[in-house]
Amino acid sequence: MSSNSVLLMIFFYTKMKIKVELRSSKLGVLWLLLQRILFLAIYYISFRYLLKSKDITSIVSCLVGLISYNWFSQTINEGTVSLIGSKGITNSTIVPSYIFIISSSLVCLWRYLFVLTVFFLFITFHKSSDLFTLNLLYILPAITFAFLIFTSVSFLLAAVYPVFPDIKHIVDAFTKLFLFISCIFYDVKAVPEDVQFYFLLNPLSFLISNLRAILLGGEFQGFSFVLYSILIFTVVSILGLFLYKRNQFKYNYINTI
Amino acid sequence: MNPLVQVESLDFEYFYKPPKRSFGLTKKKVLSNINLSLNKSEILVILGKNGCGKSTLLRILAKIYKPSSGFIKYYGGRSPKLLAPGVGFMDDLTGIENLVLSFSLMTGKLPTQENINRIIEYSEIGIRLEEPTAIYSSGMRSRLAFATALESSSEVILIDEALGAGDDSFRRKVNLTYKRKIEEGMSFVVVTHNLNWVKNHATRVLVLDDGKICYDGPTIDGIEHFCELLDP
Repeated sequence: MSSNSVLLMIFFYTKMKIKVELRSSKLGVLWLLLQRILFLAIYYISFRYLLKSKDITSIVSCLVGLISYNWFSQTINEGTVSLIGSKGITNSTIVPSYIFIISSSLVCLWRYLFVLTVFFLFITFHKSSDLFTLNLLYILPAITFAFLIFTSVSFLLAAVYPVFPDIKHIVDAFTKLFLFISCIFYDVKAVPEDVQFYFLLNPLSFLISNLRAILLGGEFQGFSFVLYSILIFTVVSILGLFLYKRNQFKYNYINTI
Repeated sequence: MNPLVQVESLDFEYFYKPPKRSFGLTKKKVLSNINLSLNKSEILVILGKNGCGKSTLLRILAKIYKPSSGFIKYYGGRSPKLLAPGVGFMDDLTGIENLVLSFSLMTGKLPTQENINRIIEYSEIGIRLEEPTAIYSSGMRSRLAFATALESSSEVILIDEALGAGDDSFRRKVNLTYKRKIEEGMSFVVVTHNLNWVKNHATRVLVLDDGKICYDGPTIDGIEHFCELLDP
């Protein structure tokens, strides 16, 4: 199958999945917006009034972390089962099954960009300084590399899941662990200096730190992390491809579930 | 005879997760030493008991499953396609969106306006194509799925228990289409339990028993052989 066909399938399948998601409720895109605003409001109220936090900056900082974490956990969880979920299609026609992993990742990216836009608008009303400066461009490499790494990890997990379904439990535990090691509820500077570097090796921390720098001002993480991200992406992708190539003909008839 | 597909010494093993706790997967031989050829303008029907490997053989011919050993030679242009009505259909999408999605998943390209017109005409869905398929009757849905699958098929069509759809008149239309396609030089490999259809349409019958070919020859003798297998 030509690369054009593959790209077309990825694009069209993703577009249709997003359409279905938008049509799955009566309010459609409006509900999607309301859902995100409610999500942000719940966290805001919890931090501000239940936890009595008076520091708006730290609340916004936590929200940035939580939104990004949700993206990460959705991409990993939905990506892991995407191959098995598309068995009805791959069992009936010759279609490269990896398109369903990439498509699942793209749908999660779309949700994230949507919620991030809502969040940016929300912040603009609360922030005296202008958010839309050139610094905003830092968000592009941060999101791009996070997307590539999340997708490659999903790819690796999706390649393993049909032959070793128990991995789902390990993934669940690890995604929860990332909630605590990804500088979501705290700033990386709160971590002892000698281990800060290791915390930032986590691509989710890298993304969150740069988003915070854009929204709240502060120090951007250096582009050495971009090189590191490329390295992680390459290693995980090669491993994922190896396992995928080894098992790809088993996926269609394996009785995982 | 010009073969379109030639299968030689084909074996296939299935992997499954055993019910007992185990880290590995267990292999089970589903097909062994399969030799067959499919000629131009032929309707080859595969008969056999449930679980004997008929659908698996079709999926191997369609390159969806990879044989464990042996080989398949494809002569001519495109490789055989499994007629898979409704591939990728999503209930919340409209008829036209499902048509385009299903066609693109089966062929790797978007349908042209000509393809779309032919599908619309064949399925007889008309203006309801703009409505979500969730509110279609099962007959309408099958007609659209079937018309899309037929439009995206190649010169060898593989059919797994999906000979027709919708009401009697649509089934007759589908049977006429099969006849026309045969006349155009296309071939079919069909898995079905409808012996009446086999008697009327098959040009050759192949009987599978426990993953092995136990008969390959004329239709009437093939049906008799299959009946004996069911009721020895």
